[in-house]
Amino acid sequence: MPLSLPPWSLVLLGFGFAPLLAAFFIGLWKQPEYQFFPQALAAAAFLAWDRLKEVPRPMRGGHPALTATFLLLSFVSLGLALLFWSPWLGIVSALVAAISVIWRTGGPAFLRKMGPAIVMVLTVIPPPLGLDQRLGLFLRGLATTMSSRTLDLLGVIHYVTGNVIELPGQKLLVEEACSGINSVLFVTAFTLFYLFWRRRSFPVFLVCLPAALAFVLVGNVVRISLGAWLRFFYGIDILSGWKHEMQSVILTAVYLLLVVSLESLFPRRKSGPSSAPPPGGERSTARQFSPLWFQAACCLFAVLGVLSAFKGWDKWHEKGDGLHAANSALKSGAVFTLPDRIGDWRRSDIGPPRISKIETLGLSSAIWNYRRPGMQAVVAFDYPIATYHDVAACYDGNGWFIEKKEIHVPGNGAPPRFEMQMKKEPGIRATLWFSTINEKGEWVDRATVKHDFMTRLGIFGSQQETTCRVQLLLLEKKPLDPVGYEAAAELFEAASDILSRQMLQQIRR
Amino acid sequence: MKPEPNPSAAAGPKRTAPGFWLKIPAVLAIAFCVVLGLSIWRPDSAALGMRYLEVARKALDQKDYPAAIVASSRLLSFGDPFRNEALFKLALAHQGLGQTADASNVLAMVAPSDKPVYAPAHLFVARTLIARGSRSREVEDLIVAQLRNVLALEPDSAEAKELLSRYQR
Repeated sequence: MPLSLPPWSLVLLGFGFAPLLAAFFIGLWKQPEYQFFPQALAAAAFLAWDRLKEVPRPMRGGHPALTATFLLLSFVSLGLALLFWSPWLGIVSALVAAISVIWRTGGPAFLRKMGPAIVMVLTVIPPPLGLDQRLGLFLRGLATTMSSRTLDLLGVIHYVTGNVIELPGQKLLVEEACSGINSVLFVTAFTLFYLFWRRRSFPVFLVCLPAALAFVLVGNVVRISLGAWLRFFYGIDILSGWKHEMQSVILTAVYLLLVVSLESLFPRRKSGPSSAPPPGGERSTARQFSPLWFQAACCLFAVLGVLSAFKGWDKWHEKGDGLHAANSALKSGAVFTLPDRIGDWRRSDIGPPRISKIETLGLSSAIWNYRRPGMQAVVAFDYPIATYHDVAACYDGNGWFIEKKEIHVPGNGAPPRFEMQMKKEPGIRATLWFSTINEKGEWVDRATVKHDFMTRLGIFGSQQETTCRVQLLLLEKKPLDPVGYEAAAELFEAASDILSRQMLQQIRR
Repeated sequence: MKPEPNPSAAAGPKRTAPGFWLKIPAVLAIAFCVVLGLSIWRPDSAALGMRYLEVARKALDQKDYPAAIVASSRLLSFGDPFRNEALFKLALAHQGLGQTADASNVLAMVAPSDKPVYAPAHLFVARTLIARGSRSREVEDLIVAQLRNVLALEPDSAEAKELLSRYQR
């Protein structure tokens, strides 16, 4: 269908966003919960195609002032995205530009018809402030609590610590303790697509979307409870390995079936989809203003695209950058060692009590136990971690209650570190210090606080860099005195220094 | 020639609309969610606590220490009425598994030498110290302190009185 815009101008406009969109989708692919994005984009394209047939012809373009506003907004946000290399802002500006083109071409009627497709695209854009992760973690916690109560009904002796369920001699769901439920976003996107496709009214959305989340939640409760029940009574493990993967596939299929089934419970509207477009030509009547300035704007977008391509090329080749963050620059088989003595700390073969272990996350972790009179500490080095990861979530998910968390910046040039005061049953108290270093040798924790709100927004800067983390867990029988605090600081700073130097030495040159 | 339509075939056996079968999974799922929700809504903590207490006791009697650890840890989550007994059983279970660091950490909470907390735990610590054989003056003082704690909580404890009479100077 002719859009009354020369195709080359749309190509130029698209080129403006291409490098940032490529970076966005490469980054998105690394997040398992968003790996459904190709299907979501295909669904968006299908909905757009489906509704395009119903747009009244001839199309009447929207008010040029709004077109210009949308386009200007898109241009400014694309400029900011380029300046700060923010793929997230890149896709948002692309979406705004798409709205501008839709408005320019067919006005409100066309935009209304394209609404479902736009909503589908929104499902693959991670919301700011990590809201998606928070929802996933909240549902994971809820599923664990509900599973615990179900296990009580089933007579399974168990204990819940954080998101981990302990059976006699075995812990379940340890690896999932600090991650949310991955299928939430996929099932939500599918529900949206299906209801849009079936042209359901807003109240049906209001019922089906929460119901879909409830199905995912209850599905997880059934999976966890059944797995624990089988493990407890029959010694059968279905919560790990290929059986776990298989369950995820089966459960996802069940969720989709339930959404389809739920939708069928609602009566259909008598009127079908809008009638076919009235005859009389398909050309847009968006002639109120000259398309020349629109084409000029497209050229400007293309200029930003060229600049983005150069910047993206630079980023691609920059060591440790997000575009190839998944492949750590650390040599395989990297070795990390710490000396037998650091200050008055001595290495010890005896670890801390089993119930207060240090939580590790990276693909590999090295752990050292140290003691000094009246104190014991565990030092861990986790490497590599695909993104910046706040280890507080791991401790929280494993049953620690975090009383205080703050950043501490020593004045002696030592790396900034997070300090956390934690407690856990039965009456265990601990202090955790951790610092995160990227593969360029930069300590990055301070940045997460310095740009606190903006970082948490997740809009600017790359959070996709590969990092390694030094942790020090101090187990306390009594509150730390100043001497003990200084001794711990000395151990942490020395360990951070040694381990970071060893890391940089073992990075591929 | 066009075949005549068969009226009996048209009226044939009644077929259920496919839409009917499609509705069943959602109806069953909603019913399941409601039943599950009602079943696990507001569990009886006191009854559950008693059950876990019994499980922990049995597990310790049968030397099933992993089960005793899980049952005692769960008992802790029910709060005050079970807390001291849960901690003591947890310490015994760790001891049974040879996890002495864990055991002594937990025992320090229910049987500190400077204040009476839980009589069976104080008595257990006193007995353990006595069973060690050779003793220093500090250990004997510790035994006395633990036995006094027992008597502060259970003044009629014959065993504590008898042991204390041996060590009190």
